[in-house]
Amino acid sequence: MTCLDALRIDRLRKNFGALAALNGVSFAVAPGERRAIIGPNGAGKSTLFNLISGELTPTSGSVFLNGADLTREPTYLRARRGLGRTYQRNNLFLNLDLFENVRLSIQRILGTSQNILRPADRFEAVNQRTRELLRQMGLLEQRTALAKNLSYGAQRQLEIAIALATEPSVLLLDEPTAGMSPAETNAITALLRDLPRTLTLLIIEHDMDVVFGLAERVTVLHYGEVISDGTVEQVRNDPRVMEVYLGVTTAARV
Amino acid sequence: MIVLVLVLLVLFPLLPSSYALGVLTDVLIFGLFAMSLDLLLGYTGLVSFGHAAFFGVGAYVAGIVGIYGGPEIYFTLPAAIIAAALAALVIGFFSIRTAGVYFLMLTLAFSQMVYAAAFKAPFAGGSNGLAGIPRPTLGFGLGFADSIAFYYLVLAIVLASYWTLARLVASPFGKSLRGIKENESRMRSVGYNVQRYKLAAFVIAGAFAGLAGALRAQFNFFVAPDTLYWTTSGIALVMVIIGGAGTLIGPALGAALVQVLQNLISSYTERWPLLLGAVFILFVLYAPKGMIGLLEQRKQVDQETSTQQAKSANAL
Repeated sequence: MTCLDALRIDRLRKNFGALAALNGVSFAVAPGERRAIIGPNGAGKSTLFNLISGELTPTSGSVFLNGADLTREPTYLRARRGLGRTYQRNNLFLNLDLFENVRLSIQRILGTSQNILRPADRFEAVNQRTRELLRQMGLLEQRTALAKNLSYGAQRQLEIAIALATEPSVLLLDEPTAGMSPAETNAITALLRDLPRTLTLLIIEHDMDVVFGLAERVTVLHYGEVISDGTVEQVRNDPRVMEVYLGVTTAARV
Repeated sequence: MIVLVLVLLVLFPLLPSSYALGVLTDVLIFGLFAMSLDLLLGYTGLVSFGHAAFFGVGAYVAGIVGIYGGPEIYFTLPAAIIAAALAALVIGFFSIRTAGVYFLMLTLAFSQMVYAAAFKAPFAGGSNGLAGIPRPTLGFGLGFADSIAFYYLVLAIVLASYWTLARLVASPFGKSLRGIKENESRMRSVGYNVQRYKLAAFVIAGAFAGLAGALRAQFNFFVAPDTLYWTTSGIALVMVIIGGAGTLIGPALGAALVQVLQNLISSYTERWPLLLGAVFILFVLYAPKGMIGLLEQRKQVDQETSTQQAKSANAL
């Protein structure tokens, strides 16, 4: 059963001093699934992503990617095993141009990033793949612009492009549409919906339209614990979710 | 422009001043030293305050091998480069585990340890330094004992090193270093083993610093333990920043400015560091991109005026 899960989290705990940011969280995500992680601010969603990607080490518990235990592995090895992530706050190479931002990912997965003998511009396969991805993301026209000079919406897209370029099998998206206009949000949602099913998606999102438009299953975190886990319908009708997340008073209307 | 500079460098020994030739040789050697530090500071974002260690190790090893082994260039320079690279491997192995000011302090501490060791080592001449270092030879009675011949050797080595470093920073590896400088944590999350890249950069930079140190020892026939002192690391940082970090050629220009200033002013006053300090402060405050930044600004202004002139000419 284990090896069928794209991602499995087992009794994951993270204490910051006396505070238990994550208090024994377990769930599994099937290959190709679109899973939303929701919960009020401070529920532990970003902590969960940081534990999965290795940027934080858990107090206890385990993380499995495609059946392999990653709990003790450094971030870069998790990435090489097929784990990609984006960040809630843009985490770009601000003084490099857009093309270079993406090329760094591509040259890593194509295995040329340690080459010291030839100029990077001459690696046609790398440049070709970079151009293709930028075209797919609708960013190709702006490829020579420095990342810091892009519009916020384009930066948000670049954030996703950098992660997609590593060709992950599991992609963690931390509020991909945060701060975007409705039009930009729709464009990103459409782009994510079109991603191939070989890719498993976990999305932290506050925008319920995005959640319901993308996700098949939803995991609800509250104070570091999973309080509900199921299909969109199940979670919508879960009285505990209405109570802590949507608010008791609005429960009748949901 | 580049061709002009090259021609001037090649023709320079025709001038009858051996003093000026000596200054220029020193400029080239320190230019190489500053370029090697730029690989760390300007490209990888590692502020090393211990680069003198590798310059000094190269100088001492070239001296010791030259004196006790033989002056052949096939032994002295490779030995210096390898020793400096090994020293960088050891120091880098520990230092790159830290970041920011801790990295700076650790590299400083390591280089001061190397200084203390050279100061006490009898085979290295102790506090007197190591004298009688031969200029390199090629065998068959050929060599670079003469200061013009040695100048051309230095020029060739520095140009070849510049070419190598320029290719290195344009390569995918060099782009990876730039990525690490920009955003180390993101590089990790897209799968880069950042520590390995940093260590590789540190070792390469150490090797080129060692080569510069070896040339410096052979140029002066002498190494003093002061070569390893932290002020040497400091002056290298000043050269990189005044010249323009992350450009390679900038730090070489910075080295030229510092060396020429030192030679001009120290003949009038002992207090040349005071003036160097003032120049440094002016650059940091008003030209943070260094001499290269100033030159590029100039070029942009020129282009704008020439396009404007072209426009007004068209209008007429």
